[in-house]
Amino acid sequence: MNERTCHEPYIESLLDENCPRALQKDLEQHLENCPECRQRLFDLAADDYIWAEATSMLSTVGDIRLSAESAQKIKDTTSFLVSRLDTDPELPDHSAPVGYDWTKILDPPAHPEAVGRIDQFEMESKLGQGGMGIVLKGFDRELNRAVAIKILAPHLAANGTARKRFAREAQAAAAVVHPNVTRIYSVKQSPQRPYIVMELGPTESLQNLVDEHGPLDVKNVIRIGLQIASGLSAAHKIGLIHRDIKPGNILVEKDVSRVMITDFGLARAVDDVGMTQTGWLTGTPNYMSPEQARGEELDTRSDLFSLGSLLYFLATGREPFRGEKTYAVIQNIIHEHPVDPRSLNSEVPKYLADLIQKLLEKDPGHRFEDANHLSNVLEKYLAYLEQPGQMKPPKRIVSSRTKQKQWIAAGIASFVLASTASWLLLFKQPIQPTENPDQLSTKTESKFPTEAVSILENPVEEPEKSILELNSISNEYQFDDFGYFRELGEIKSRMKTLESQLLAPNQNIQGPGFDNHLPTMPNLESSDAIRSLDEKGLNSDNKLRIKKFD
Amino acid sequence: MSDPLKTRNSLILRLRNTDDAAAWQEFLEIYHPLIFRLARKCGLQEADALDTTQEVLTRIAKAVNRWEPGEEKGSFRGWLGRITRNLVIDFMRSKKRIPLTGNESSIGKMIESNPVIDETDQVYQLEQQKQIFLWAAESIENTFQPKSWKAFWMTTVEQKTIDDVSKELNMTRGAIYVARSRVMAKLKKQVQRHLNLERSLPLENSHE
Repeated sequence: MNERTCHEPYIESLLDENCPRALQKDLEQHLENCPECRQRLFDLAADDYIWAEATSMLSTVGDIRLSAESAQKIKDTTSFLVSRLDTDPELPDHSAPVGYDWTKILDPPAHPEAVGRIDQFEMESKLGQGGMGIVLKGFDRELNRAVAIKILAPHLAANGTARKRFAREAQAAAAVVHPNVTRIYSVKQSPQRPYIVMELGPTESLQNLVDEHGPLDVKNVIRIGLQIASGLSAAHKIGLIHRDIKPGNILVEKDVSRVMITDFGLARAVDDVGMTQTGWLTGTPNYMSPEQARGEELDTRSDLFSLGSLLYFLATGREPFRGEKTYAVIQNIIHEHPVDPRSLNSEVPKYLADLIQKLLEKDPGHRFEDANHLSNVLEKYLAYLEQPGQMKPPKRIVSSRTKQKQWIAAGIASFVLASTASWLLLFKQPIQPTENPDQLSTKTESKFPTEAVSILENPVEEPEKSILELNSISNEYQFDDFGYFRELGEIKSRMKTLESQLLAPNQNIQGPGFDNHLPTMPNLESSDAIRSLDEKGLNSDNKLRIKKFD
Repeated sequence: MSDPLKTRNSLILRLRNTDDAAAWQEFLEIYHPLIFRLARKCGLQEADALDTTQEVLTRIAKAVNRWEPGEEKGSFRGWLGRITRNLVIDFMRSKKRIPLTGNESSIGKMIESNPVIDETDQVYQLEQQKQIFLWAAESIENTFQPKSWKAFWMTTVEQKTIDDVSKELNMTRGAIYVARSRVMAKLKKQVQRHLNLERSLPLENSHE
């Protein structure tokens, strides 16, 4: 061999991933027989000690193992933090304390009962204080009306970007004129104390309301949801995303007759590394959408998700996504599905639960199309709840999760219907099953294999009871026409009759009233059956009950 | 008031800089798991370690907000690395003792036998180095065919013989030599790139 004298000139090109294939093949073969070239390649890649370092660094990593769960948590939060920075690169200094003495930023009042003054506004009292600033009740001497005034906190006001953003978002929000959105009258861009003059709305928030009184009743949840949806719709139409829909940002009249959305877009103005304001690391991000939690770009459907969480909270008194630590909350928002609100409050009707579920879809494309569509749905539902006798029940809401369950449900149900139908068709012609058992089994098996046979082998014990139960289902679901379920019950009872006739040889199967009462189930194909069941709102729950009868 | 536009927050400009945004991402990718692993090394259970990690990150984030470029020498990366090191080491020292597990490299043993060297600092450095390698490996892995990657991993990290790996992966020995060297060259570059950006580094290489 030529170990000592090998001067293969192309070894270095092997490290280039674009090395020509043929050359690489040749060199690979050469390497197998030439230790000298092997060593050269080894050295070219990295010095000896770096190879050794790689070995020890990469292999001893196992000494502290992250559980898959923790690794995932860290990954998720890392990408969250990273993307927050990318999308919101303007970072105001948020380190100043929140509890500053706000009276110092006011001028002496002109009116003896006022606590201070800015321009023509006499300040009367404090309405609220948060990380962003302070909200005061004021009186506009020029226009002679009471207003709410939000003054940006001094440490934020000192920050040019935060100040500009505050003004920009407020100006955008000022374009929204809607009874359910706090009206913004004007924006003052003074560098020392920029402030917004707003309509003086109710002073209670939904958070206070639920904290004090617990979950709201269904109609109020729907009324409030409807108002928020229609307010959002007005804002979304001009491209404004709220970004921070949560109970604390919805003001409500004492009698719950009217709610108002506040702080449109303002969350963005003080987004601190994307952390403080949205709740990461310091507060609770419970109402964030998954796309927000991942730090992705948002569209208006993000607000719909937050509204879903809010409705869930109103209906149950609990946030849908909880966790002791922010890590857990973010995880849950991104990966988990909340427990059925009906398990927390049995008074929540299935319709509302489905509606909330649909708002809480992880994929924005699976939520309601837009806030306007949602408000139409809520409006119809509210009308139905208020006049159940006169209004048609709303169409069932299908979310991807209910779909999944329903698919299974509809499958089984269609089976019951279709197999029964085929039996009825079969018996409509006066055949003599006892004399022709082969025909029977082949006919059923051709369309509905073994299960059809087994259903018929285990007929309904007490058809009347089944019908009663089906009726009660129909009541529970508030469907006024529940004909299909009744028909199903009748079919089953007919089956019972048929069966007894089957068991009694030689007896003619034309039972009493058989022809007259035959339900209309023309040529049911299983897909038709599924559709018809879907339309009638048959879902997994009543499906299971039906199955019980089999 | 003096010119309000000049007050504070040159930071805003700085982080608009995509380079610094990239630095922040890289920082989190490396240091987030690192802080967690160090917390575990201090004897914390997973849940507590996650809390601690969150705490430390919060403090880092706050510090980032206070940072004025120009006041500090060096890059944003370097600065981040330093404040993190100080914060974490403070935290580790506040724990009574750092249990060094048995399978440490020679550095770990050296620390135990040499009380003069600051144990905490050494542990930090070791873990940091490991995490940088791990991050580098992770970040380049998907630029290779899985087979090439395995050829590197099995021969270099798991230290299996070329013949065994050849059989296991159904690759020629020559192909394994080439694959592992390509991975190594890229890994080295990635580690160096990070270290050079963060500080001047022990891994100088004559072939670059």
